[in-house]
Amino acid sequence: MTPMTLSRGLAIAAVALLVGVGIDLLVDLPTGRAVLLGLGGCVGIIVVSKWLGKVWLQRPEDYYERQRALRAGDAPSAHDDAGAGHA
Amino acid sequence: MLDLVPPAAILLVGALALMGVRGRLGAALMLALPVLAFAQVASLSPGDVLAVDFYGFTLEPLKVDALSLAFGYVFCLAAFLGAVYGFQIMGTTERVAATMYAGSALGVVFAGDLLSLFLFWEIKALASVFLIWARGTEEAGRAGKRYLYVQLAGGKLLLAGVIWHYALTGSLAFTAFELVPATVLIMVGFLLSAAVPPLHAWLPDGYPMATVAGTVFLSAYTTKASVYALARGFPGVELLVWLGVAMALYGVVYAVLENDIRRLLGYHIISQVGYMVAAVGIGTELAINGATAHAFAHILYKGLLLMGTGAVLHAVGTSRASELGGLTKKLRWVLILYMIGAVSISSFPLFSGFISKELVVEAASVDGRTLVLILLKLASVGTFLHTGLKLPYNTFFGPDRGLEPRPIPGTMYAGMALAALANTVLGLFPGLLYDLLPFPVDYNPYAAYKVIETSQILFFTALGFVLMLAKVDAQRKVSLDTDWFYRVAPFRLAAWVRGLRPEREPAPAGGLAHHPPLRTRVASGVAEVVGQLPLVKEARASSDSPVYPTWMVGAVMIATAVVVLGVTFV
Repeated sequence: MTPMTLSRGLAIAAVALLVGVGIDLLVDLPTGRAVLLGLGGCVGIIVVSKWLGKVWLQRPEDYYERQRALRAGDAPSAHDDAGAGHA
Repeated sequence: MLDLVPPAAILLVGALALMGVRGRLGAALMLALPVLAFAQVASLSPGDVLAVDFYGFTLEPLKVDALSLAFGYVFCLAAFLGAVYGFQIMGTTERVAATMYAGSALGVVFAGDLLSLFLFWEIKALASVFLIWARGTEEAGRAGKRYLYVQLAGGKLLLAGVIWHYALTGSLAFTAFELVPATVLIMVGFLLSAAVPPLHAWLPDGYPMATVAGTVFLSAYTTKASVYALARGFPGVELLVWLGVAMALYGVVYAVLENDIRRLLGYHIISQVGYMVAAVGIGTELAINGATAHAFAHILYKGLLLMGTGAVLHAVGTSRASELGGLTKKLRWVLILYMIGAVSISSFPLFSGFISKELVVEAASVDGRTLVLILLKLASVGTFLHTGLKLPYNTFFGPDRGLEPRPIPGTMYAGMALAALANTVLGLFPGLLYDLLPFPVDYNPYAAYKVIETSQILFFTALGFVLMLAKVDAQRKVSLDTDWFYRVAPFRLAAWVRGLRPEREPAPAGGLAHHPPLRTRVASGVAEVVGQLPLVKEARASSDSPVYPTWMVGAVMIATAVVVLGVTFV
């Protein structure tokens, strides 16, 4: 599987959307709900989560190791003269 | 009295025996114990009670009703499947820990009083951490300690609630509670072990660090025993509905970002347990049935999924999606069996997740909760997106990274095959599960419109995934979660306070030390109180400590003080 071109993707989505809504009408389901939930939900979840990750949640893979190394590096200075840096 | 042996006792005594039995014999004994426990559960019937006197208290280590039986059956089944899967890969420590863990979880679901419940609850926390430590890596050691601290803190909340509740009512009976401060403490203890955000971070932190078979066991018991406890103690608490919905979506968001495939599944445990917690909050008979059924099915399909990803880890030595790919041919059977778990959790018709999740969704629908219904269906979309599409795509189908898997023992395949069979049989014959539920079930999951709508949603999710394929690549990143508050924040705060403490300032050359700003004075006051606890120095000296123990101890002390104050005023 490779990412498809935008136009082909949209074309497939449009056809599938019509079929989906058609089925809803045929079997008397809330029109378009499944399409909205499935397609809209899927795209929405990816976009919102990626955005949250980018602006807030994600850190480099070694984030916690670095935090520990930082503390280990800090420790001696705390026992020597920690205040020096703040003077 | 022999017929009223608690099933938990079989596994707990068996676990002690396992300490002295090594190798194949140990593995065989571990396999036999859940069979015996299952037979014992099957011999029990609702209404059976075993009462014993204990220092003037009447304890009921065995009290049977339909709810506890349903959980009892699946707990034994999970222990058996885990033992098959781990037959050739588990060491003695793991076997003892896993069996004791399963036994204590069985103890929890058959406990008739709060003291027995607490006892089994604590054994459960202690035994389970060894499944993390057994991994043997430094990382697992630290993660295990964090896991243990959090679990024990949760246990203390539970104990505080139990004591308080006993002081108020004179009763230790484990029944449905009214919400008062004492029972709220009990509920928070349960919520922590059910991994309800923000009290959930121990799960994605600890579970992926456990051994290959250990994670399979972990996924079955802690959260589900808590769902059971919530269902018995707090059905119909409105707050739980919204906590459940929130956690269903919370897990989904983090799963998008997660690179480690076993941690991704950990986030999906949170998401799936969200359905159960929400169902408990709805609290109708249909909803409690839904929570129970979903817990039952969840144990089976999540076990299978973690067996699959565990097999990948076992075979190629990594569970990072960014390092996996090109394994479709090399691990063909792992992929096939994993996908049965994936379609089960994604609630494909004909598989276990469909018949259980739809029960929860139906309960929300019948109760007239449209928003809950929609949000749960949305979480379901996320579930298929991650466990059914993204994870297998990145793990098996992605670019070939030249990985050469080592052979996977036949018993691991056997465990997966049995779990896959269980998921399929439940999906094909829902009556098997529905007959075990606490209340009579009058529900047909295979009504045509439900099958069509679910299939449509799944199809459009797949379409969305294909359209967004470029966006779902695995990134070599970690995501901050609430464990940041005990892994990083206290150290930052301590460094900040330390930096401002007057005695650590350089000699007063200028006016600063004589007239410290307000911030410094407040901070030094706080430092006087907090900084003088002897543990602070200890923790500071060992900068490698997994959490800042002082703060845990301090928090527990403060909480205890608040509780005692509360009791005094009440």
